[in-house]
Amino acid sequence: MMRRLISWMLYYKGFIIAALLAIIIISLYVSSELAMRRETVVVQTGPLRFLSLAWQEEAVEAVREITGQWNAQHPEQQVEYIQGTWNSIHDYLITGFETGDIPDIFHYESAIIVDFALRGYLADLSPYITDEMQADVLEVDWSSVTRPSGEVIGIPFINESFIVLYNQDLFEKEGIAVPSFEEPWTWADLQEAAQKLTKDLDNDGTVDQWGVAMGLRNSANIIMNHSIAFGGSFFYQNEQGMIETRVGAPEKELLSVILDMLYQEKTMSPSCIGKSSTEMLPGFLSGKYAMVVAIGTWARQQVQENAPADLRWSVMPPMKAKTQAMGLNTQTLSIPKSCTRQAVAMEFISYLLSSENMTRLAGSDWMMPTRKSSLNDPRFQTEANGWQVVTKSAQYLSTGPWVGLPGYIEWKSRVANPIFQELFAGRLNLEEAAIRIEKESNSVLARYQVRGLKW
Amino acid sequence: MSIQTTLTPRSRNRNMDQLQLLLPIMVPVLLISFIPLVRGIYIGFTDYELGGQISFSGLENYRIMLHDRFFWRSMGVGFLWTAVVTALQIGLGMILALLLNQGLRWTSLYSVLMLVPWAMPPIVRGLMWRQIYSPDTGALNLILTQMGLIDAPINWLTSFEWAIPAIIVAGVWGEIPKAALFFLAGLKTIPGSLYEAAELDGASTFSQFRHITLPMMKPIMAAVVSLSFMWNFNAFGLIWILTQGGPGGLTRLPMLAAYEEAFRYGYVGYAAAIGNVMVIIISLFLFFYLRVQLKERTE
Repeated sequence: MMRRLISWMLYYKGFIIAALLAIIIISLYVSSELAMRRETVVVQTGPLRFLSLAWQEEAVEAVREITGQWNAQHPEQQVEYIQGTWNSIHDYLITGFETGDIPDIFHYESAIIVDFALRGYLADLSPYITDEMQADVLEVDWSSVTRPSGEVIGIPFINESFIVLYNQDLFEKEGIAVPSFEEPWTWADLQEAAQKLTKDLDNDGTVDQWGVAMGLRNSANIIMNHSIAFGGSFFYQNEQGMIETRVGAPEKELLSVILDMLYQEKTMSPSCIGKSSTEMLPGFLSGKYAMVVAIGTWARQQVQENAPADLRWSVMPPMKAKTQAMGLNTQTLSIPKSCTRQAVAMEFISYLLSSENMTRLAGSDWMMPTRKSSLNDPRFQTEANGWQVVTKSAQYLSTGPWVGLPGYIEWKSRVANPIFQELFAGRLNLEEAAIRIEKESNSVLARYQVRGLKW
Repeated sequence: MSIQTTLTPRSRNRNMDQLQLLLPIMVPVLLISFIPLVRGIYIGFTDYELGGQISFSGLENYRIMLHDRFFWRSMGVGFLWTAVVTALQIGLGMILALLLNQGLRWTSLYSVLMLVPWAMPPIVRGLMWRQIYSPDTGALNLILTQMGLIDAPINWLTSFEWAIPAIIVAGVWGEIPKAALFFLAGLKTIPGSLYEAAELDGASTFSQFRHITLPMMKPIMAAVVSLSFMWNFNAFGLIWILTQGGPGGLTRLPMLAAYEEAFRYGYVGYAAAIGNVMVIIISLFLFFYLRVQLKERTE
């Protein structure tokens, strides 16, 4: 008996060794995993790590230079500049939060850090905000990052809002009067002008100058932020206090304007359906599109840099529906909860976002700063490149009711964007799209409400 | 146990030596490959969400999956993609291998050229095909408009009609070389005498292919089909670059769905569960497919 066992063991000793080895390694791993679970407070030393997403050349230079100035003035607390990119930032941060290896200060946007805050990743910055900054930054910008409890999850420093670019020459040729802040256009005015501007220039039976271009690829952001002016809010609280999605008359108005321009009036190029607004720019520069509706303010930099010398272009004041309100998103600087040097990290943020520095940062990125004092800087008041119109539009900025809605990000990419794509591609009619959005939303949002996540 | 009786103490010693040689390799494999794999499988049975605690949740993820429309849609397109790409790749790869086996001039040059698509990482292939499909500057639209086949450029990757064919073409293009290379190696092993004998018996070229080449190639085809099935079912990089799963989630292959669940929406446990289901599906396919193939061989 014993002999047989021994010979059996000898025969299989390779496997036995491998199994033992596996057990040892796995137990080592499990114990290290358990050790990691225990909350260990590591005192962080060395330079603060600052992840920036500035990407336009001038903006990168500005951030680097200001960081350099801080380092020269603060030898005791250096800051290390880390260049991030918008393409990979999300995965980078998520992995960082989960492993605990995360920059002390990072640049991102309000719409997404709301989700981080709900997951408990972010430090509350409200105790560190100076009165000067509190008063100077626009109220609406604070509302994009402030929880009902008063907790502030990031410092907003750049407004991301939408503008309408138009080709002045084409407007003049058709005798179309340009709207002003005193007499803004309604969407009906836009549709009418677009009809005049849509032309078959060489009479070959196909249109080669379109009135309107609009990036409809992932259009939820545009649709939502512009629907506010129609009184459309998409999310409503029902009697039980649960959030419910409704696509009623106010939500449908903008959608049907777009559908009309695409399919009835045929003033919007069908190639808009699968493209982002950035992809519409070459057509704008070549005169193929008379207007680009709902494009980010930063796009002006691209236009200015690439436009042929004879192209005269400008920016239109916000369109008027019921109001001229327009939803905004802000670019922010935040500090993770796991950072042990929050106070000094916030000191650096205050330095980087001083009025003078913010003017420089926003200006070099071709976007609106969030401080009133920066907005008053002559740089944002010139007529050149549409700055004055952009700055004046600040008064219409507002936040949608979805700020802080748990699951909004998933809703946008899983429900809204795909259904809008099908709607604009003509695979659904407006009624069908509305029903599908309502139905699919509720199943997506339910998961979050069950967990009881609260903004 | 027939092997056991033939083992002499000497050969057993040699086994031991081999194992010792393997040990240095096994440790990194265990650390880098095996442990993450086991952990990944385990996470598939937890409710791990980003920012939350991990706790065991049994089969809850799989219960949710049963009613998850998004999951089933992505499985559907995953199977379509895998089946079509694998089939085309086998067919076209075989044709290419037969051509290269004809002993034409410059065969070695062609063989090297053939490998180029395979040598490119999927990301690079994706970027290249995105250029080709581009609605404004793409070669495909340019050629088709110049030939007068289409009036206006088509946005291949965002159109509901064309997105799936477009990714399939790009996928097949990159995968043909792998199949062709395997098949070419297989064709070289078929003894020429078989064909000579068949020719003497007056067999046509087609029946030579059908009765000699195909049966002789069966084991290799089984291997290529299995590998390609796994590879294609798990495709990610190429599709991510081309469509990101759009339009309207039409090209959201299972791997993309799992990625989105984990990294976009934070459901890490659920994403790992999707991964587990994919492993099970692939294993089942391989099990039945290889059983049928091997049975036929022994008959």
